[in-house]
Amino acid sequence: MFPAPITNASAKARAGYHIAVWIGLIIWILPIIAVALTSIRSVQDLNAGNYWGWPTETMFVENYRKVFTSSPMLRFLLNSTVITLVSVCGAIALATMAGFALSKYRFPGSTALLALFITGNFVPFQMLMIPVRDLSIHIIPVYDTIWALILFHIAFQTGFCTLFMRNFIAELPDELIEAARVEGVGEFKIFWHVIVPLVRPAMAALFVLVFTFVWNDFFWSLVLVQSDSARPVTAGLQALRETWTTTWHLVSAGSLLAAMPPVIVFFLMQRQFIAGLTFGATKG
Amino acid sequence: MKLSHSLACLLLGTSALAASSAFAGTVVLNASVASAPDRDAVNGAVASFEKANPDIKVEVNFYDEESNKTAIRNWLTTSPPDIIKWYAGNKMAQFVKPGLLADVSDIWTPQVKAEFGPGMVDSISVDGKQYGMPTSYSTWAIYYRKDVFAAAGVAPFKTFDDLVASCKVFRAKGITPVALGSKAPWPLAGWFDYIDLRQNGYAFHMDLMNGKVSWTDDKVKTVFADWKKMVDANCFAENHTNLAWREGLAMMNQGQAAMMLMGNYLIDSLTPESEPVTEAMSFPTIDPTVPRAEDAPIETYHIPAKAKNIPDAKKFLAYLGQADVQMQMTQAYHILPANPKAKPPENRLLQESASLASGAQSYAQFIDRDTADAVSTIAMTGFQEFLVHPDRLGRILQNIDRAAKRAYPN
Amino acid sequence: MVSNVSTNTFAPSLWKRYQRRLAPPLFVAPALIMFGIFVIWPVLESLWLSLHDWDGIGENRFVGLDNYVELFRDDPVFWTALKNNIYWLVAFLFAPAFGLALALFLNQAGLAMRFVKSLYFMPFVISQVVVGLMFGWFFNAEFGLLNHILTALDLPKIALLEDERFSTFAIIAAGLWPQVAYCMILYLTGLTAINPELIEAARMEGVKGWKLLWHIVLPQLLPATSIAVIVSVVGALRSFDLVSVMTGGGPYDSSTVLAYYMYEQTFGALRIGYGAAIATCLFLLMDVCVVIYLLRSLPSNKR
Repeated sequence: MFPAPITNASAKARAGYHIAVWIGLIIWILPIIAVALTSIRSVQDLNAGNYWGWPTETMFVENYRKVFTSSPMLRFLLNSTVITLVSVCGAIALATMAGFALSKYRFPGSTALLALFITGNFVPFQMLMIPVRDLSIHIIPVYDTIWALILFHIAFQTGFCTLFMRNFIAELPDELIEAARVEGVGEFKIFWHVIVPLVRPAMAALFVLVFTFVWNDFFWSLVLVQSDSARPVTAGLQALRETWTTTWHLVSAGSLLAAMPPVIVFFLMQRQFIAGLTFGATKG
Repeated sequence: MKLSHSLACLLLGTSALAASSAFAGTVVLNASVASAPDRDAVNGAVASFEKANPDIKVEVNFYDEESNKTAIRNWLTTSPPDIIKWYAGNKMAQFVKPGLLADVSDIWTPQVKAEFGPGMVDSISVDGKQYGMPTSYSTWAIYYRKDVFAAAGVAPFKTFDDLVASCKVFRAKGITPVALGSKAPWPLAGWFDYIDLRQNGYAFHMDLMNGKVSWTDDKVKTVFADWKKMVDANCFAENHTNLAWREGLAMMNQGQAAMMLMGNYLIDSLTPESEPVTEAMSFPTIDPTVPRAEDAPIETYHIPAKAKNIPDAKKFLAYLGQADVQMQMTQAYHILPANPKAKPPENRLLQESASLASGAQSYAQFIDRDTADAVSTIAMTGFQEFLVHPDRLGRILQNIDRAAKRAYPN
Repeated sequence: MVSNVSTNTFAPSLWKRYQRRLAPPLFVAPALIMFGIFVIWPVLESLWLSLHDWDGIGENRFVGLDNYVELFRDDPVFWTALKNNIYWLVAFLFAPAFGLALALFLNQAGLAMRFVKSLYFMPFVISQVVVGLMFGWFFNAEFGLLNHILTALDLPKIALLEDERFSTFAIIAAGLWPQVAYCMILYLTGLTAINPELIEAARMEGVKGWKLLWHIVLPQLLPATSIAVIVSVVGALRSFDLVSVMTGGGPYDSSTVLAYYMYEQTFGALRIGYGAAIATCLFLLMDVCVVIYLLRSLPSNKR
């Protein structure tokens, strides 16, 4: 193990190490701590200029309740939830099928298709902005609805997810599929009964990853949605900043609310998250 | 006899049904609002309209101003609502030219025209036809702390030189003369507009806006020379480039800054402590021979050409123009009604600013509504750069001029 | 081969006979269709739009390469944006190194350590909008925490986001925070996969510290490094959110990047074709980076 395990060092060194780690941690997440503190501060504190000291009174319930009563925050959170969950499931479904095809079958164009999905990942959003917006206004009229975001995210995330799934399924032994074919099982049944159960860990990893990416998306929320009724929380937060200009306790509370879901998903499914991110790091 | 009687009843009944269904309609209103009181004002107008017209239902969708600006272009070209909120003058003309707004000249009867006066009517007219209904306008003024002025021994300004001289006095007392927040650079455009209007007059200003005069013209350079006097006298707040305008206002609310040039919506952001000691004054004179002009951007409602229910929408538009309706709206949300017959709300500063603005020879709509967007965006960032680096003026003006030549190729 | 139980051999369906050939395209089709509509086609259309002059509602006029000529010859903001993008790229290339340092620091076992590692990773999971808001306040010249600390230490206040010389760097600092967290996790995982026997053998020969790191550990971390680099390059060029929230490209366009400038030109100045040209330049820049990376990593992967 590198560096040398701390358990081998003296008790003093061990203690020193742990102190250093925790102090480092506090400095590292200081911005988050600061925002959390501000979110429970009272308006008087802010007006008096007490931004960084300990709050004179803690207004946790009041501030967070005010966020929901003075703005469409609940609507924003709901929109984000629907958009994210549907997009993630859609992208994973499409990618699993495509990944299966690209890894276990050899057909003309399969390499080209894989290359297409890979390069698509590197396209900057700005290159897609105008045409996708026009598409959602004129051709598939979903502009300003959550469906515009859902359709786009499914399409874009499919690129990365297909690559991921393809690599994962490629590792599965061909014998399983052959055996099923010998039994006379049709291709779609093979997919559903043989492949899908085996790729659950990969699906879990993709779920957490794509959840984070889609939930935190800001750019497309700005481009494809204008109404509060369809707006997700990232863009909603930005719009609320105009209304809440000097009420930072509300902006802070709103920011934390917006940041929470991916953090919760991450903490619940850490292992899958990290597996998803680092997939390929150990597989070359 | 009986048969014809019952037939007659039947006929009457069905025709009554037909009549009501012909008039029963829905009007979709996409309302751009700046705050909660603004939203209340719109809801109030909708409620009273529905009461007066029980067969029409108004469906309201609320948007913030920025979203409205972005979305409106999409609405107009695809499937728009029946009523939209926009701005008068050039901004409206941009949509009239491609035929995106409905002609509403029929609701502009001679009485209505007389009620509003030629200024307002012109602002929503193109080629003699009317395309909208003005509902409110904002005035600009220098709002100042009379207590801070008194403590420094400064009197309200008569001339621009008074303003520049006062900056030294304020600085000596440790007060920031001009509160400013230019992260979104439009407040700076207020300064540019006014110095230009006072120095060169309305006619020249509009020629500049319409691309008839170059931005590198000497007269434009004198505007910046005047402005530079303020920069040299250290008039403006430090670090304004990353402050929102309300954050800049906070300095004045706390008594650490003396004044701010701003639209009348500033009034709602004053604190209970600062409001009683805040006054308004007109932008001082530079050239006394130049007729007085003010910035008074007008907000308007329009009907898109592709709207589904134009007849009922016209009724709503006409309703919004009525003096009593405009008064009712401005009670909830303190702005100035466009209809001169409507009394402005009972707010001291608001009425002060309105009376200061009245009586001017001409009214401009503010640079971001008077000239093409491609020009105003470059111009406003240019103003910001000028305040921090006045020596870069030559390059700044060339950039703006290039954009203007592209936008107005003649 | 065991025959099907089904006795429908009279007219075996096309499907049953050819499904092994027909299935793959059908599996790929939905993903391909979505991807084609929302990614491939838009790239082509953007390229086409960049050759036109259009404000979105009026006439769509073909102007050939005029937009590009204007960008390169007449537009100082384009060059500022490009320069800033280069700063972002260079700065983000340090992210893997910082991430490695953090990973080495935290690579100890224990329940507490697992919790700590998760917390160190949190910046990556938070939306960039929130990161931008946090750092915006931190750096603010009037009421930011940074200046509070400086004042407490008797140092002069500094204005970062308000000063054209520093605004980009302040935003880059904010961007590095989540990026380093990401690299840290990549390396932490990579470190768990290195061969313990090699380490033991080296230690027994007296190799330790920097030498051990450089000669034994780092080569084994190559896969993690390569992902960290590519992710950092892509992240550097995608910096829209932070620029938008923290400075809006200001003061006076000094902190803008191509991604943000493009957005501004499209929605603010209403020049659709011009915006598409800027996007194309960004696309080319990203392609150049990817190609350079691939050219460098492919030969080494052949090992």
